[in-house]
Amino acid sequence: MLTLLWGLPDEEPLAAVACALAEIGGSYFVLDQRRVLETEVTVEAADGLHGTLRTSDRQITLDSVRSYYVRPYDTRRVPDVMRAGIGSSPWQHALAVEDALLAWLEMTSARVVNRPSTMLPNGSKPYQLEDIQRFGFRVPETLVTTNPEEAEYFWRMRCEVIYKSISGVRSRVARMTHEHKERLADICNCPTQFQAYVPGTDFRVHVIGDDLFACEIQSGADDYRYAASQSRPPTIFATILPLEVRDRCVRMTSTMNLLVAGIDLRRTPEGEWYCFEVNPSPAFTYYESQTGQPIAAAIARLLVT
Amino acid sequence: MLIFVANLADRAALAFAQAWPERDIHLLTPADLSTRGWRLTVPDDDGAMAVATGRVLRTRNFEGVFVRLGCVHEDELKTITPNDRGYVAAEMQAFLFAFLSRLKCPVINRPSPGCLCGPNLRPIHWRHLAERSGIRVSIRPSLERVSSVCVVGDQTFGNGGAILHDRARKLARAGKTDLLRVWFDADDTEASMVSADLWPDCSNTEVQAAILGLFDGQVKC
Repeated sequence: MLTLLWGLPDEEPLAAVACALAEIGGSYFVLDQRRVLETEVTVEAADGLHGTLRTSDRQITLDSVRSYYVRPYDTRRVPDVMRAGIGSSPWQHALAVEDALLAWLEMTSARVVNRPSTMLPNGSKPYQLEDIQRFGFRVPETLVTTNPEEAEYFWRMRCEVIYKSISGVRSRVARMTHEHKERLADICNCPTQFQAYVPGTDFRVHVIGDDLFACEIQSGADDYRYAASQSRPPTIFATILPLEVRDRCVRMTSTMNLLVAGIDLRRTPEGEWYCFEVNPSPAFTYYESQTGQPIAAAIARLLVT
Repeated sequence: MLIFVANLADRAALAFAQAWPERDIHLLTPADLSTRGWRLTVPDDDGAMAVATGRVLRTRNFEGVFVRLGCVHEDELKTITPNDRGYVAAEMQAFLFAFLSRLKCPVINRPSPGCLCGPNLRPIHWRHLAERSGIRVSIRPSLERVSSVCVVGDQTFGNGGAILHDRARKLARAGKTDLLRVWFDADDTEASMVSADLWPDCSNTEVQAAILGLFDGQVKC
């Protein structure tokens, strides 16, 4: 039976999973998002659920696909679609293909890593933080406001504060400095998220079904993900989490109906465990390349069982 | 105090709010999200604040929220620099989702990830849900929509007989939603379900009364 991979074939996580599937003899097909204008998808929900996918060289009955690994980017940014322009026929075709596939992925009984609806809560950081608390993790004190005085008070009471986007867009973390003080008035225009800075050591945990891969990150940057581009590359190595923390990660992932997740944790000098985010579409290859942890292989196994 | 969340162009929501002056209804539009006064904390410190029609309000005084807004459109953010509107709309959407999800008072419909006014289901998903619920589904969904039934809690409104009303209620229950409009390809017992959406006709006075009734006797935030 077939596994369908949807996204950009040369994007590292997708390519790594395809490679891992090939290594274990799993049958797979990569649906190249760049070729969306040559792709047609039909989904019918009368007299049962049926779907068909056609590309220029292949036709696949979606009903017979065993599993899906999906990492689609914004279809509107596919070069051919952008060139055609907003509202053009190719533009509308591309959106229709995306819409039909997303609908199918939501409804199919096949294994989907991860189902679109389970990924969406990550698009609201304060919502996900509320959810995370239920699993026994500490979360950073967070204020979202359009009130500059409120933000300034929050900052004053906590000494060190970071700000980050509320949605998944431009999700970069930065520490508040006195230069920001002059710009605080701008937050009247849009709710802005501030968090108490939590000192400690970062951990990235990948949960793949029942498997768990943890790594520790040593970095002096506010957001270690961007430290490499600031010529301060972090040091990353595989580690083992305390059993209780490990169980929380697995339970949280499962309760959020995710089959794969990348969890951002921080252990404070006092030994408290904070959780910042559960990423439903983790770019795991960065960590895999640093630690040698067989994450892609674990995802491939999940997709064929 | 009741809050109606809608976009500026939603005349039906505005007329609905104005038709019931005794209910202390405040209209909240995306423009209010560009106003000083919003406040939300995690963990919740019970001090959340909102802004509706320019007025800063404590959410603990909310008795109910009626949501007509599916998502925040960047076109509506006229006060934001054009290049920033896409980002700001995404931020506002993410914030409103967290904010509305948190409220303890009745929120009709409760937001879901991806849709502020109820389950984030495409038309085909509603059709699939209908079929799984034992409701006959049209094999040609592009057929003209002949009749519709609006579900408001346990009440139903619209044309068609009792059987269609029962089917609409059944679909709303399956979709775990209080408000739903279900379209059929006929108005008799042979009718098949064509589609469904989260925007019942709220210009109808009976529908308005039923929606307001969902907030009566409920706890405040």
